[in-house]
Amino acid sequence: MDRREFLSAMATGPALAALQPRPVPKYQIVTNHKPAAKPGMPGAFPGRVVTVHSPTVIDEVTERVDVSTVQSMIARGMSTLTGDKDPRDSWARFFNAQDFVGIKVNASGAPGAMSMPEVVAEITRNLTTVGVKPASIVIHERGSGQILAPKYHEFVPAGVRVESASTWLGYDPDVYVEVNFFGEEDTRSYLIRMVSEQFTKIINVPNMKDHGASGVTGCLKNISYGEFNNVARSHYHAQTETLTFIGTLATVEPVRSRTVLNIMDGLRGVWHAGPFSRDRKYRFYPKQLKFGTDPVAIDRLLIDIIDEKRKKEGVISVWNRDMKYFSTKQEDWERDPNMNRSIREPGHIEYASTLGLGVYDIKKIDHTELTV
Amino acid sequence: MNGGVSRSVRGQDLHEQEARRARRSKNLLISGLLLAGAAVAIHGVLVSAVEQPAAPGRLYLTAAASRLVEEGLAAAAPTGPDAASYQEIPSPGVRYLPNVARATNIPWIDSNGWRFARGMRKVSYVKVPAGSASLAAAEAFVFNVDAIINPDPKDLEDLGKMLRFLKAHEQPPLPAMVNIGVVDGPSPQLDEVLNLLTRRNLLYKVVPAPDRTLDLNVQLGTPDFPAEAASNPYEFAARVRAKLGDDKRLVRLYGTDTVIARLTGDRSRARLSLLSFSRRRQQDAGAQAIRVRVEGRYQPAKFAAYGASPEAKVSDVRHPGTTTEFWVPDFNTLAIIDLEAMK
Repeated sequence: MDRREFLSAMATGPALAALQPRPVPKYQIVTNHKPAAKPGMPGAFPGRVVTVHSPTVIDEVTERVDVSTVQSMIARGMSTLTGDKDPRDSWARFFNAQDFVGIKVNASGAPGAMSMPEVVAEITRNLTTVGVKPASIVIHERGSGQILAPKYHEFVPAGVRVESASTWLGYDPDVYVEVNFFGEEDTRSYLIRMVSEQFTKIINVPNMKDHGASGVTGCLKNISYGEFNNVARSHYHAQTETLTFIGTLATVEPVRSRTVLNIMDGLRGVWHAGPFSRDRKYRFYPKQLKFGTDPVAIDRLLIDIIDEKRKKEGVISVWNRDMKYFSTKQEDWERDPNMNRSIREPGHIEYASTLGLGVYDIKKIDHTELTV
Repeated sequence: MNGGVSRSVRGQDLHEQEARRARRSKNLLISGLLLAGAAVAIHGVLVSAVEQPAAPGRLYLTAAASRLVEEGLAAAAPTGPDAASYQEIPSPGVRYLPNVARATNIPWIDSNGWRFARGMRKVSYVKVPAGSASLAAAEAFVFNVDAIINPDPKDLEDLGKMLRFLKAHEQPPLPAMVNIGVVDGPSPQLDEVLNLLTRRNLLYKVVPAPDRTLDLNVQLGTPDFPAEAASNPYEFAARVRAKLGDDKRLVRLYGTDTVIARLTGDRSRARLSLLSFSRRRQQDAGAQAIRVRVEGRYQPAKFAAYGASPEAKVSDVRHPGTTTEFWVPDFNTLAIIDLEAMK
């Protein structure tokens, strides 16, 4: 067996066993932070999700976003979530002038798929209305290349910072998850330091996207894989460890306690070949925002949105684990939406519910839908 | 120009001759040229100190780098019978092989560390592709061997800088710290097994028989390490790692898969050398390029890195349990961290 054969065996070995259940890996969580009395996830409104639709919020041809519609959607969404008449009261339930707020966007698919700058800008504006200083608001991503692409700084009030782990503070040596998935040498995933040392609260602003490994990528994946490093190791193989890793990371303090609000940006979405959006044919336009404190409940609804779109397009479900739809070739799964690059794990959302992160049972989700 | 090496060998011949030479060198090792030092226990982990020659290894340059010789940065390569005692070895480097399951490439490091572990002390880097000379010099320096380097002319400026850096940080060799013994034997897979152990920073020495002072002895043909297991050296190295346990590893590196560590030291101090094999040789993640965990409680006393700013330093030093952890900032090709044992 030569070196190439070693590597080949290493890569395809897990694929051969892909349909066999894998035991939950042995996770070691290291943190010097204690949970809040009432952790942000699932937070004040477990199981509650508000969806605000608007047929005019984005132009499907130009992808231009209507700012005033976004403002209306966020105002309605927040006040419906909390039951307050004045949206400022809704924001004040979560944030005050003493807070240092991190806005965790998703820019991994930018510019084709990202937390829209118009949505992020309106979130920052609302924060300032309840006294949060612009200098105490940080729009962030793990990677510096990703965070720069959407040009958030051109949309937000002066003073609001746009940062990544490589531009500010790096990683926290005292907060990490240690786990050996596939015999990899680097077995630690460190939390980005601004989360643990600076932020008092986090707003999670994911997109609506398919994900070749985790099935879909929503609140849970954005707040976990987007805040910790060395996470791609969980999905280098046909069979991944995303099923349990995503939820496990989301439980790590202080991430769990400080993530107090989720606003899912569904103006645009990606129904195949995510999390990127290299091919516009896989983009679609749900034209909605989802609001909640419960990431599991929002993500549970996301599964259906992505899967229904895929069904409408006549392709296999995100739940399909048949190895005949698996290909190791990127060109295969980029060209053919009936091909998977990994065995998708949308079950990561239900798994996260078992960790206490939220409500998965669709019958128990209190879902309100509005249109503006 | 072949650096004065008397003959050129290639491919399988090279492999076989290396193995024979290594075994001869190993015999010398056993006979006492390199003595296995006494084992010391560092917080419950048995660490064996492999004695080194009293003087640092010497670097020689071929005529291709006569300018650097004239500057006094290295000696001129020996010729004639003297040169014959230098064994030709490949240039260190990295290749990126495709991972068939994903559109990613896996780095495969070509290090000579395993050859040095088998006893090679005088080597010749005859064919050194452009861009590799400074890495070859750093590798020879870290493993404390006498080496002839035949650099590509394009590398002279960089090699000169590296040689100045090495001279500035030369010190009498400290014993290599290891806690795994690999029992030498005739298996043709052993070379690749040793290469994988080096690659995975499992610190070992080659021994003629199991050494009870070590945490783990690896002997092909035993129940823990059946001979057939060595047919896949990758899996075999994983088996060694599992048998030892990550908690007992003397060095762990987080944040890189292209850096090889060598730890030398005694009861009072240690030197950790990090060799970067990445294509650009650069670890580029700012002040936190690599998180290091070393078994034993130390205080970093000095950080020196080729390509790093003079102000660069290790950061966030922690002492969880019986270990020392710290971030190593960006560096190019070689970083040296001197550690002092805590009272």
